[in-house]
Amino acid sequence: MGKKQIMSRLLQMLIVLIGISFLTFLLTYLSPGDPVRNMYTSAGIMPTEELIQSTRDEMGFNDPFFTQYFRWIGNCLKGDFGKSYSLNKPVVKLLSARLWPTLKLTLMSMVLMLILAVPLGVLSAVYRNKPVDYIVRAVTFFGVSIPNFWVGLLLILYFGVRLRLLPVISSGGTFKDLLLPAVTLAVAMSAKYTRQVRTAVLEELSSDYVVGARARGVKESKILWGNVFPNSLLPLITMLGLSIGSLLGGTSVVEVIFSYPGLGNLAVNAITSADYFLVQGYVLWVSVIYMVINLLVDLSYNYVDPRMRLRR
Amino acid sequence: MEKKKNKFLSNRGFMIFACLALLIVLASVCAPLLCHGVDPTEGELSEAIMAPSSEHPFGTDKMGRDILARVIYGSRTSLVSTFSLVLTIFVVGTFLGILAGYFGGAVDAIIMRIADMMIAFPGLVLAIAVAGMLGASTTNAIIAISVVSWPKYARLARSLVMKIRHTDFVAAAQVTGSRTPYMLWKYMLPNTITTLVITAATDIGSMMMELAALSFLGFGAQPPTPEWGSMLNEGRNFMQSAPWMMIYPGLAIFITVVIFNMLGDNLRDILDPKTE
Amino acid sequence: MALLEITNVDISYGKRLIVKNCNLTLEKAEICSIVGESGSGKTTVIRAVLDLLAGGGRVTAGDIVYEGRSLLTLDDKEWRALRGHDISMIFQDSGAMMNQTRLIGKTYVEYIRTHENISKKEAWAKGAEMLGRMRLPDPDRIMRSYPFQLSGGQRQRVGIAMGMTYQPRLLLADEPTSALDVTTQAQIVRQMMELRDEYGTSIIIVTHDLGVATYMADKVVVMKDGEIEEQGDRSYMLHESTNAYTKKLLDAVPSLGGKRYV
Repeated sequence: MGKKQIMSRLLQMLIVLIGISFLTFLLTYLSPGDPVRNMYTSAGIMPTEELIQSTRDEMGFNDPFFTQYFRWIGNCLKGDFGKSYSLNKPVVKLLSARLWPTLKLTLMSMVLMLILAVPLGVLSAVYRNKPVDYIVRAVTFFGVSIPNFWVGLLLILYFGVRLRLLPVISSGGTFKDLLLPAVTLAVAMSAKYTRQVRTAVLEELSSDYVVGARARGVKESKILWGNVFPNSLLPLITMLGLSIGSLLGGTSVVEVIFSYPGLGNLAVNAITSADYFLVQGYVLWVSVIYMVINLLVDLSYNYVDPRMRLRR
Repeated sequence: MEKKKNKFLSNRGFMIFACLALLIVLASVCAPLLCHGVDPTEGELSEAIMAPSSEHPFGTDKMGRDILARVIYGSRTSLVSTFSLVLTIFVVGTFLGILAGYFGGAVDAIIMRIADMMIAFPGLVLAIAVAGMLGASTTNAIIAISVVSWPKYARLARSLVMKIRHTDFVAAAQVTGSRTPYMLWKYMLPNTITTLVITAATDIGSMMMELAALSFLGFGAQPPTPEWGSMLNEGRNFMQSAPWMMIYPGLAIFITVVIFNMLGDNLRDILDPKTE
Repeated sequence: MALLEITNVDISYGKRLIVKNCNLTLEKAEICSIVGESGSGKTTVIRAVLDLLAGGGRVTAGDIVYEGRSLLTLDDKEWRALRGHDISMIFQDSGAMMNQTRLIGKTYVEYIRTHENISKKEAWAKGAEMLGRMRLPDPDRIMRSYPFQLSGGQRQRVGIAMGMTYQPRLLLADEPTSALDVTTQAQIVRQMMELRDEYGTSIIIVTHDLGVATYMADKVVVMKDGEIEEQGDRSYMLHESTNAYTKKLLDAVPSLGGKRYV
């Protein structure tokens, strides 16, 4: 990617961000819940109508929509995402405290997924239409059809409740705490990726250079591990970037199940208690992270694949 | 037409899973019959949290409601909401995609930039936010997932339309004075419909899971409506004492998703033999 | 003893018979052209010699004998020793037959080290030397290039250089000049003929370009619809053949600058 393309990507990202921020703000604006009332009730006060109205005026909730929107955006740009009413802390502080645990969980499930999916996918492709392939395909089929929150619950039931091997609530950051949530996330993803790896390897195996290498007498194992395998990982890089995005969202379900102190869990609680600044902050943060990761992934892809790097 | 019919009938996989899917639909339609009049929303508190027995084959929940009845009635919620969801994104996505592809220019730019925005964003995050802020209900959950899922269909429809947009027969039809709605209906739609139907059919399973996930988080169907996702959520608090509360609803989702995924895959194989 | 003997060979893909009853004998240092329209099965024949038939194709009858032993019963190890060492193949676009994400040098080194137990550095030097012999300018730069960075002619020379690394006794060339412009075509054709003169390499060249085929070959084989229509030595095929199809094909030979190529 040249400088020009990077600039246009950044511009695109900016437009998307503006759109996302507008959409989230509009949604919270239209939302039936009243943040001021929620603020008081969560503090244990039964507010009068006058109190609510005066607080709304004070906090600017009665201003016209665009005034509110631009004020919020302006503050966000200064790094002030507002204050969470339900937790009575700055949104920035809450989000940054939860960011690392979620990333840790995301990365760990990715690693687990790769450990499972890559060998299975390669195996299934190399032994295409042999028993191994059929077994792998059947397993991955069930893997993509099983809801991950159910997997999580079953894992808790078995390893936590029955065997008492692993903690039911993963509030800490230890490896043991991470294991079950990460496995839960990895199950569906591994199934999906096993299929992708299989398709990618099959596609590579049918390319001309494999015939060329055979004609030169190169060993099958050299062809597979020295050429086909590295090449089939290339398209995976882009997919991994996209997966990090859906994982950041997908973790919320798993985080809730395991009471894991991550971004998703925070967001679900924020939505339940109509804590709007927190929700808006969460959506913006996750979008920015997602877009930055994908930009980095695309850049690295350009670096890894010489065809992208060198072709004029 | 006759030939197409045979293609469906002669595909054993398709017929098996079509029958199974039909069975699920039938079960949900005939729920009152199957449950012998047991009300899924009424329970005897004295019968709360009872293990599976001959009287309650799947056990009872914390309100003493029969879980088997709730699972059967739950299929209504799941099927109706999943089909409405898939239909919504299918219709909206296809319509917008055809418009974008056919008209190009500003229409295309606006529609596709919005679609890009949705795609450049982790879907479930936005869906959770939308569902949460609109307020928890089945309809809002459907809207939330539709908002983030239609772009896939729009992109597909657009690319298919673009392929035939500048072919001779379209130009000929335009020259002979066919009106735009007629053009869209007569030429654009038929050229996109097969691929999009395949996509929709293969999406049913995952859409069902996403809806269940939202309900599980409390942003979908509200109690006492029987819904598999929310039943799982209730069940997880009683995991230690009453694991059946979470096992059966989960199994119901799993089996239904497997059947619809299989059906979708087989349908794709029949309609689009190119892909493996 | 002939170098290569193909006797009564049938080749099928699944249930479809693609090549029927193919018979062909090649002597040492002989150049044989197989000509025919696309789909006539000519490429299938030489691919079968190296057991490189794509997806599901196989020899269903007859025998292919190389230096007295049947190629149809070789195991993987024997194949590896033969391919790229005793028998080499060059393709229509040899560049496309190399891994696009690897340097040509790396592919070359991988190839050399398959057949010779030498260090990577030595293999690299040997590869560069071969490229130089093919009159490729700046061989080191080419070794450090990716296939897609070279021109069609350069890629084809690299392919021929690789194919000639071990001075194979048999060179199979599948449309080696079809993707090139006329000037480069002529150079490549001459280079291949020099190989025969220098090392006594036998060559089978498959082409639909009758100019090239008749210019190079000692023997011409005409294929049509999976069967050999007629074969014979060059002068017979050019001047004495009475076969209608052969005559029709040869009448279509293009001429270069008013002068007939043949």
